[in-house]
Amino acid sequence: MSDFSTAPRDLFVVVTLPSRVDASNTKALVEAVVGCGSKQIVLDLKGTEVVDSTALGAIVKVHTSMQTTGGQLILAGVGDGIRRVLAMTRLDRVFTIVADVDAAVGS
Amino acid sequence: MSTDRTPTPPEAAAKETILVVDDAVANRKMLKAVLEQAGFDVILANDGSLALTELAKKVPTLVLLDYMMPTMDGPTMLRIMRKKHAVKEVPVIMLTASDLPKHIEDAFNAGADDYITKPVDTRILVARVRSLIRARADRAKAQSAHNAEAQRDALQSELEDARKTQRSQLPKMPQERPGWRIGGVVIPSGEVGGDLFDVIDGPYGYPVAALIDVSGHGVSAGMVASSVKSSLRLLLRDHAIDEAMTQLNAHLCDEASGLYACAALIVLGRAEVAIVNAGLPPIAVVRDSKIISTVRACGVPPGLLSGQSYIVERFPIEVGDRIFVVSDGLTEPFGLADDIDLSVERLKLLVSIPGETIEALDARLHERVRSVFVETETIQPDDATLLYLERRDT
Repeated sequence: MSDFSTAPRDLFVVVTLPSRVDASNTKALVEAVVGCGSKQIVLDLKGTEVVDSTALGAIVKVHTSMQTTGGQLILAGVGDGIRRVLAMTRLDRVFTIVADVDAAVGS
Repeated sequence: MSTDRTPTPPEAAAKETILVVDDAVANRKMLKAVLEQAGFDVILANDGSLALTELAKKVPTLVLLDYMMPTMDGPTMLRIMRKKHAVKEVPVIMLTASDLPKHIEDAFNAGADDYITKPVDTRILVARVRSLIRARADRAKAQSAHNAEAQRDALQSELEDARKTQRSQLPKMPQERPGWRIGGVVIPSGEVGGDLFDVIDGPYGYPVAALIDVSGHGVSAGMVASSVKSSLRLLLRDHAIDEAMTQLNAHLCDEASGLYACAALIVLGRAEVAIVNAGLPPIAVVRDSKIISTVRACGVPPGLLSGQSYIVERFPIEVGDRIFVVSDGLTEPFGLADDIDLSVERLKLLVSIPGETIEALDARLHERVRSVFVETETIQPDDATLLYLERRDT
């Protein structure tokens, strides 16, 4: 069973991430995002504590790919630890980051 | 010849296939009935030549082979079969009306695994068929385990060679450059790591220190780290560090390996240092046992997004100043990836021992880095790398 659940929400599909996203489940994450078939995706990281470098790279690739096809990937519920990693790698300026899923679908 | 009913064993559900080779119609019919009753699939052939044709179509689990047949007899067919790679390991039971020692000897010399004289007791026949199949399966399993062990050993040996090769690519540390002493510690989380450091002769006569932390772990990350190191050595021949980082980003994005590199380049001038930090934890500048400055990332790690540019941060440097560059493998064990202050404190990098030789300093820092994972009671999840640069009055 996948670590990643998907649910439609208004015009978006919300993909909820588990507490740890790393090399062991990065492929499943990409499959969940690509497989849901939506161009408007929210990654809900409310319960996520760790996103390792492999997973981070995959999320950037998905984001870039969606942008080129007119899609949108929003990060919601990003905790302090992951927010610091995003800032450290300057990816906080690349992603749209919002407080929670409600804010994402309302944006 | 007995026709006793033989119970079908549960393992017969696997439907192993027996090739029955006999010129007598009655024998073929009888053997087919007995073997099918025992749960086997049965293929029939009238002589050795036709049997070879059947073997070319499908590899059976076992062959029941009559000795005396027209066109091609059993031993002749068996000798040919044992030379064919696909079927040479298939067990063969020779069936014959003869119990002459010469015939038995011929059968075994031709490669038979067993020999049964007619008339055949069907219970014994089926028992021997199963016994031979089981024995062959056990041998195959043992061989497979042996092969797997040999493969593991070979892989381990290759990893060890890769580790040695990677270690040999690191510059000799500690080392002295005009006005600077430089040291570095890399402790990979596995045999091969994605972290590297280097000291490169830059384009303006000053050395450039580099720390590279490739995403992911293991051999693929190690290969990309080596590629990044080679690229930087080429780029820094005639490019400033910001342009070199921009070119490196373009190169890694073109490669599309899916991996990227957090990296820092530091030009070690006599009165000024210039730093480009692309995704590594903040770089700490220490003076008089205090962090006086931290240099945060000015750009996205090379390989993640095409079309990036990087900004050089410059500041004056004094004799005695020290600069510490770490990979996140040395910040995360203490809590937060970007908390260089805590990492510097916990690694006791602020400690300065008057008169300490560069070798003693290097040994002390190696010991400190190695002890991180014991102290924090964490299994080292990532490569841990420290590069230290000290401005000297030389």
